Amino acid sequence: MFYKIHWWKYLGVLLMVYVLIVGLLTPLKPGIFDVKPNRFKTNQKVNINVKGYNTNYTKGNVSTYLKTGNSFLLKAEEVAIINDTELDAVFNLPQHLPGKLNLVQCSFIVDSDFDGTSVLPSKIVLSQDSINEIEGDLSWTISKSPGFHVIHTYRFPYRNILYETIRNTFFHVSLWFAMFSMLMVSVYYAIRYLKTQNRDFDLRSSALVKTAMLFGVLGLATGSLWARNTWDTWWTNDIKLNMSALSMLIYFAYLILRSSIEDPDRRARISGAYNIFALVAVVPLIFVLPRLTDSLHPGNGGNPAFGSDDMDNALRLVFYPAVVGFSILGFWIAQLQYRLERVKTALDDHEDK
Amino acid sequence: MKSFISLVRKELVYEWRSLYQLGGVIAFLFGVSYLIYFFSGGGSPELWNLLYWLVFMFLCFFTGSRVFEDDTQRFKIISYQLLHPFNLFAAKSAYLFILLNVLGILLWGVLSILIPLVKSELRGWMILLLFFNTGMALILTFSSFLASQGQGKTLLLTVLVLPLSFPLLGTAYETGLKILNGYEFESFFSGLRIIVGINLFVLAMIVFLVPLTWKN
Repeated sequence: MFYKIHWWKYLGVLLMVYVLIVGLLTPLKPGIFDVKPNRFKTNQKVNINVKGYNTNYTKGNVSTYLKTGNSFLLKAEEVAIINDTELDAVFNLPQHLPGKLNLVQCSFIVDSDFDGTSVLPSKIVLSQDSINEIEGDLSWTISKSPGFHVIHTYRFPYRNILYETIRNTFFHVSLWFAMFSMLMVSVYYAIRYLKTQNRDFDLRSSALVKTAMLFGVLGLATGSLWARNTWDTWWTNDIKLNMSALSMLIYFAYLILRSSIEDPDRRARISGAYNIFALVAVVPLIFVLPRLTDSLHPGNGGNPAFGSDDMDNALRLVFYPAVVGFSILGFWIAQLQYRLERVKTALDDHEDK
Repeated sequence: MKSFISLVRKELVYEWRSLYQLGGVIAFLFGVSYLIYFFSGGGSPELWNLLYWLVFMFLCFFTGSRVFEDDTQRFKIISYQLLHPFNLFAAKSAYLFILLNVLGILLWGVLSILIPLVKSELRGWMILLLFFNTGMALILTFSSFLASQGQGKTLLLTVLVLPLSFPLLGTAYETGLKILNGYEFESFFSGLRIIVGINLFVLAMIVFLVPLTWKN
C-alpha cells in the first residue's frame, strides 16, 4: 500500500540518481580544442598545430583537411602526431582560392579511424592576392571523396565554447521546465479556489508557487554560472535573461502581496487572481518576446530550439528524464510545503477557537 | 453609461476637493524636470527619452497609488450595493487615463522647454501617449485595487506595477526613441502594435479577473 501511494517519489529519486550519474560521468566526444596559427596567405606551405580534446591521435590513422564552401576540401600533405591530444598538420596551400572572394573562412577537420571525425568550424582564415575562380575550384576539389569515419559510442557532443558545461542542459533547462509545470498547476488550483472558495486549493496553489520560485532562482543561478563559463560574463543584456528576471520579479510581487493581506479568505482570493494574471503575463515574456528579437539562447531570435546542433540523442536520453525527475522533485517539495501550511492553518484555527 | 459618467465626474470632484494632492504630483513634475535641466543642461535624444519615461513612470506610480485611496472597506460595502463594481473599476481607469494624458503632455512640454529637442514631434508623441496610457491606466487600476486589499499600499503598488508594466514601458521607450530620431511610419506602427497587443491582453485579463476579486 505504502509503495502504491508513493511510487512517484521513488521514480523521482531514481531519475535524479540516473541524471546525476549518467549526466556527470558520460565523457564528451573527441573534438578540436584549438588550432594555431589560423591566418595564412595562399601559395605557401604552412604548419598548423592542432590541440584536441578527449582525442586519441596515437591510436589510429589520422588525416586532416581544410574545408570551405560545401564541397571544397584540401587534404594535409603530412600529419605529425605529437601525443594523444596534439598533432602538427602541414598543408600546401594552392595559389588560388575557390570562389570570387579574396578572403575565405575554412573549417578544420580531423578524421581518425579510432575517434571518428571532428570539426572546428570557420577557424582558419585564408587570403589571396589575385582571384582565379576556375583554378581555385580545381585545386581545392578532391577527386575522390575522403569517406570520413563515424564512430558510434555513447558520448555527449563536443561543442566549442560549451565544452563540459553542456551537461548544465540537464539542470538549467530542466529546472525551468519543472518551474513552469508547477506554475501551471498552481494556476489550476487558483482557479479552483476562485470557483469553490475551498482554502485547501489556495494552500496548494501558494505552495506550488513558492517551490516554483525556488526552482526559478536555481535556474537563474545555474544560467548565470553557465554564462560565466561560456560567454565570460555573469549576466548579459540578452532579452531572454531580462525577461526571466522580470518573471521572477512578478512572482516575488505575488509573495509580497500574499504576505501583506492578513485576512486568509481575502488573501486567497486576491493572490489567486494575481497568480492567474502573473502566469498569463509571464508566458509571452519568456516564450514570445525573445523569439521576436535577437537572443543568445537557442530557440530564440531564429536559433532552432532542440535542433540537432544543440541536442543530440545522447543528450536527450538524460535531458527528458531530468525534466521528469526535477518536476517530480518540485511537486514533492510543494506537497511537503502544502502539508506544513495546512498544519499551521489548523493550529491557527484551533488557537482562534 | 449614465452611472459610468457620474462616476468619472465623482472622481473629478474628489480630485478638485483634494487638489493639493494633484498639486504635489505636478510640483514633483516641475521639480524633477528642473533638476534634470540643471544637472544635464541638454543631451542626446536617447537621454531625453530615457529621462522622460523615468519621470513619467514615477508620475504614474504616484497617481496610481491614489486610485483606491478613498474607497475604504466601509464605503465599498455601500457603493457595491449601489452599482456594479466593474463600473467603478472602468470609471477609475477612465479618469486615470485622462489624468495620465494631461501629466504626460505637461511633462513633454516642460522638458521640451527646458531641454529643447532638435525634432519636436508632438503628434507622434501624443499618439504614443494615448496608447501607452490606456494600458498603464488599466494596469495601475488593477494593481491599485489589489494593493488596496493589503498593507503598505504604496510600496505594494510599486512592487506589483513595476514588473507588470515593464514590457509596456520598454516598448514605449523604444517607440519614443524612434519618434525623436525622425520616425518612419512602419517602425512607429510596429511599436504601437505591440502596445495595443499588451493593452488588449491586460484588458482581457482584467475583464476575467475583476469579477472574481471584488466579492467579500
